[in-house]
Amino acid sequence: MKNRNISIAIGLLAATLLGAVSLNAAKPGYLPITESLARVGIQPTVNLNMPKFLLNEVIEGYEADENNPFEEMGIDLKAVIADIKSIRLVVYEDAETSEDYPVLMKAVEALNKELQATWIPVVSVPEENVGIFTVSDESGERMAGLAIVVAQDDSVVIGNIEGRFPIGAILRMVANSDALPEDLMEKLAQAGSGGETENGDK
Amino acid sequence: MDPSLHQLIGKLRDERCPREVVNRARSRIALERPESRDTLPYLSMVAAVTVILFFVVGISYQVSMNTRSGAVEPAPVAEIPKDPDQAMEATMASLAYMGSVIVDSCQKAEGRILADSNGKLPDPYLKLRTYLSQNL
Repeated sequence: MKNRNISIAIGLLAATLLGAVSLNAAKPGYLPITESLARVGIQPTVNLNMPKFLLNEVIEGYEADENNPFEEMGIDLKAVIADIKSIRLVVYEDAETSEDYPVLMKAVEALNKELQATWIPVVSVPEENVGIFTVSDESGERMAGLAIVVAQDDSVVIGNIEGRFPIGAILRMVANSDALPEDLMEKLAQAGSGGETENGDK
Repeated sequence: MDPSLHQLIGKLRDERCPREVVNRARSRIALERPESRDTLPYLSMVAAVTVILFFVVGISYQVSMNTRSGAVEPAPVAEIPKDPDQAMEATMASLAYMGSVIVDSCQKAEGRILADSNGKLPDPYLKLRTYLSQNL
């Protein structure tokens, strides 16, 4: 009887472990950027992590702000980010001189392999190291995420928007680039280095 | 041989053990057989130990790979913007930045298609391009 209890306990433990692992793996639209770059020692220019709770705060702030910059562009930011679960953006500039550059490129290659195996390429120019991928949710009818991996001209950009969003609105932001701040990259770098740090994406 | 003895042998040969006795004997034999007593817990124990071993081996492999990589600096940590205003700017900037990367990549892909098609974009591509530029 004692043996039986022990084996049931071990079985439950193993099942929990398995469950935890499969739960983490079954997150469509999520790209494990932080995990993939864990061994890269280069300091990124932009290292931004916007989890859901922060995006919710952005929506609240957006509702309270009468002079938001998006109205001029005809973009409802609330609607754009309502179904986004997280935004993760990492940019490396002039990384080629670093001795850890091969490690970074290995990580990029691994991410690319994973994306090519399980995601759908939207725009892909392999000769130029450009890859934009998307993936649907379990229903196959809704977008679950977008991933960007670009490695060229001395810079590496790895981005992931987990969740669903109107891609047209984002492209309209670029089309209305006059309304965007000129120091876009600086603002990004500022936001991605001055905040409190947190290990991992979520 | 005595004819009555011969008859008795014939009767004994036809004699059958009652079904109830056979069933009782079978169940008793099954209970006393060591492998059938508690097979399920043993099997689940073996399965559980295998799964745990699998995880231990997997984790130690990961650790050895990390040690071998020789990263000099700590891994980059994800940064979270401080206040809501900064978060709003960061959201806008990151979306716009990723949008610009998408546009840039599309232009590169278009350049590649243009180069591959001897300077003239294929008709379906032109139609799609016009549709997107009108509807985005």
